[in-house]
Amino acid sequence: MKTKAFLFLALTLALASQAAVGKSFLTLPHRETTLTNGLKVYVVEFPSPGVVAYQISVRVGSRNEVEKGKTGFAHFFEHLMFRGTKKLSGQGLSELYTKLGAENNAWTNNDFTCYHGVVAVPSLEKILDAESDRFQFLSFDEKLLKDEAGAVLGEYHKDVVNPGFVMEEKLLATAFKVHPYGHTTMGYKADIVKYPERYQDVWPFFRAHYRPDNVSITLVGDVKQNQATQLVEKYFGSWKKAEEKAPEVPQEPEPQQAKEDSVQLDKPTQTRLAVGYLSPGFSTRSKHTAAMQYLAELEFSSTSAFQKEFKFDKGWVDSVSASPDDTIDPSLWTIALRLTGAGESHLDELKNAVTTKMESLADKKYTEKEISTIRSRIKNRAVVQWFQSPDGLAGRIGYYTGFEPDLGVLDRHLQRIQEITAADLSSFAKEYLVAKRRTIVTLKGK
Amino acid sequence: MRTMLTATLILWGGLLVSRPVLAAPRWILQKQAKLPLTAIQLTFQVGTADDPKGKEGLAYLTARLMREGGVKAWKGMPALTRADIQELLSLTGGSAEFQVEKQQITLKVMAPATEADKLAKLAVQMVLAPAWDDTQRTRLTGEMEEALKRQWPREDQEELGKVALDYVMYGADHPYSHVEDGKLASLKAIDKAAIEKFHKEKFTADNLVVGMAGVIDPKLKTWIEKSLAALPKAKATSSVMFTPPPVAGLDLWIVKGEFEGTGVHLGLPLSVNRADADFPALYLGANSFGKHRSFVGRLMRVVREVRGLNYGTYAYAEDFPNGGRLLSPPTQAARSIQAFTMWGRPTRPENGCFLLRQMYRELASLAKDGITATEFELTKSHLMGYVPELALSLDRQLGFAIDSLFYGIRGDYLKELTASISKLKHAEVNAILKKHLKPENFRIVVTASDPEKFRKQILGTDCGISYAEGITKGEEVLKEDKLISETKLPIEPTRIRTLDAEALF
Repeated sequence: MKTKAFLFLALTLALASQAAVGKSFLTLPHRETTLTNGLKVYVVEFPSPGVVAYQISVRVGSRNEVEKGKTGFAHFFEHLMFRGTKKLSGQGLSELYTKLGAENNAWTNNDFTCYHGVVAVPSLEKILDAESDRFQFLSFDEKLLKDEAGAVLGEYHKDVVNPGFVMEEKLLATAFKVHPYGHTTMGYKADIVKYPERYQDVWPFFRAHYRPDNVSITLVGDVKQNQATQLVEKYFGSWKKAEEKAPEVPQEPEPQQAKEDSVQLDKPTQTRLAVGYLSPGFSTRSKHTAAMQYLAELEFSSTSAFQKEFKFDKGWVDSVSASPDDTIDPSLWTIALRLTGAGESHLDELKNAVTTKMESLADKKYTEKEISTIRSRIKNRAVVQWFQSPDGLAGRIGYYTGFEPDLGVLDRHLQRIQEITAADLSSFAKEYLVAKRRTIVTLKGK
Repeated sequence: MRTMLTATLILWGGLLVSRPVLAAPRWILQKQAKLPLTAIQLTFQVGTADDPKGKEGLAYLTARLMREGGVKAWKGMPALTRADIQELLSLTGGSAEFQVEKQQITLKVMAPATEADKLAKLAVQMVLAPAWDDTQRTRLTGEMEEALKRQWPREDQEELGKVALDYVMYGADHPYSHVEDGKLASLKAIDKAAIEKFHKEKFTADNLVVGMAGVIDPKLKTWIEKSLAALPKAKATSSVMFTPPPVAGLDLWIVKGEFEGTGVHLGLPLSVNRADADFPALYLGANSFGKHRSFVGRLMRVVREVRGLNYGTYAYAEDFPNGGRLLSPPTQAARSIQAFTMWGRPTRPENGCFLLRQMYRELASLAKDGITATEFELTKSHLMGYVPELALSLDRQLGFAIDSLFYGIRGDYLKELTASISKLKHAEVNAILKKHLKPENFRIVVTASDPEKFRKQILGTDCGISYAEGITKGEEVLKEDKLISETKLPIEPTRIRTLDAEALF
């Protein structure tokens, strides 16, 4: 019985995957493989003569900073990953990249830490060799950690000058009381200043998250699917899983009431307003992600009535951003406005305009024409976004397979986009765009 | 690399006049059928440097209005308002955006291949039949005012420092010395008539290069070609650039503003651009000295890595607009005159004086002794891999090809640059650095909150480095710190002046 069920499942999966390949959005030759240690490998043949983009994604971000005093650890770790191993020092690693002309960099966000770059195809093997070394055998002394702690504090100081960053810090802290999404990727300053004392604490974090079954490698460029996959396997295939398990991420309880706070800066700056609603994380199993995308387009994009009135006609705002962030757990879908001098005295009206709009969407009846316009828009835009460059494509694959670990995530997401109806938008709004899920933060300069 | 198409150089009253000449609309086609995209670019050789005196901001406002001010009905195509255009763009999922630089304005279209015809038509209408909507003109002028009043002088200290450096390197009267938003005093002088006149005179066939890449539909290409034949055939009226008269001695301008830290910028206009034989060596030298946002450069090591003075310190052989946001140099930002520049990101105010002395000392050493053999080998190897990575996308491939026409480079610039670098010798690079870099004539800009204090420090002996509590440094570093702090700038006190940030806008 068990075997049969398994066979049936396997057959279904195979068929599903074939069907997906037949009319896949990803028209370039591609392959996905799971190594025996759980590491995912995605390869796409892209017409970028002589050059290949790579992205190594680790499913760790500020979301995983569960323990007290360790906020910003995922980002701190991104820095520490450049500090070397017994075989290759940090300087040696940097020199190797330099010699090969590899543009390499890394970033960290709520959910992921990604190491990415572009390199001439003949140098790919050397890069994979060095990367597999640091992912498995990272090693540095306490002094190096202290140096890097200073650099991270410097980065915090640089960020905190930006009013947008200060606003984000306040918004997240106001909206989340339990979930680690309550702090920015940088972490709390009080924690960052203590990083120099954290040498013992970083290792368990590293082993719990930097493990093959929590990592994917994406190669996009002038390579052949099979050879490229074998090359990854050659260097990462022997990577063993560690025993450490990452602590569970506590989930934010259902919010009971609307929240509001403000920030006053002591320097002149444009007034800003952010209105966020606690919304579901990314998934292709429901239509929520697609619904948010539609509503953001319909209500706040440059073709919206909102922008027409407040940006183009009244000139009260010069920037409107409303794209929902794709995240693993429920997070804020934020409508952020930057006010012009003319708009400053209308802050309350703008605040009301946003909340009234959002919280009445459940009753709004969109026409089929409105829906179909957004449908074409999102699909067409995806073509441009996904195929523009090999590094862009590698980045997107690394990102979305972090939510659902197979290339089919792309086609499934576009499928949900195709299926959306006016009723889906209304039911999404009814459930999520309600006052008790709302957080408002305003920022003013002197 | 200089060829027949190159800029004509005329010595005129002691000023170097550079007038790049391009024949009537030229085409660059780069077919790539594997990607379901079409890129179309229209680059006009006109830019903010062509703003008439007293109407600074005209080029930028004209381009923004071509994009956002609606289009008139044209050859059977209907009139479209700003909102209609936005709707059309959104539906196709593509984009049509203007990039406005000192000497180039580019309309960049990127679309799914299936939608390319719609956006090609829109682009042609934007260029040939702009409607110049009054409401949008008022709105856009207001946004530019806002930028000049609040954003430029206050919100980005580092970009401000670079604007100030252009201003002091080229002089207040030079076409390079104002930002794209223009000047507060001149925006009021720009009326609809001025915009229409500028459009008619500058957006001509002779000033235009058209690029198409990705999936190229021959019928669409022919349609664009025929349509653009309606552009005025006016003789090329491209910008006339003059290098600032040579000035001997250092000049230091302290730009005052409400800044948390102190930033440092140095620069010297060059007689070399990417079409010249000396360029590859200068490019290698600049990258070895301070590659943009990378640890390849010596400055990044000695300033950030060894001393933790700031987030980064870089050097450039070519202008790199928008460096705060971009990792790779933008295309279609070509300039007739280039400069060798250095950018030191802000450091704590008490270390500002030290940062300037250190950057200047490194510059003097670069000009005198060049880069080391190890630095040379490492940077050479790096650039051989890195340069081909500069054009990964269709739009950047087109961009580099279009820029080659500007500079008069006939072949594939990135390939030629890589080939030239592969042949470079260490001694040759150092000789060229020595030939072009004259540290004694650099212009310096410092952005600081207390100019008087900085002035006293830079002229006096109180210019040490202060490390954060708990940071210890080895004897060698401390010894060099002492040397740096004691090496005064060879500058006349009368040539240290203060400039209000607002004065630049």
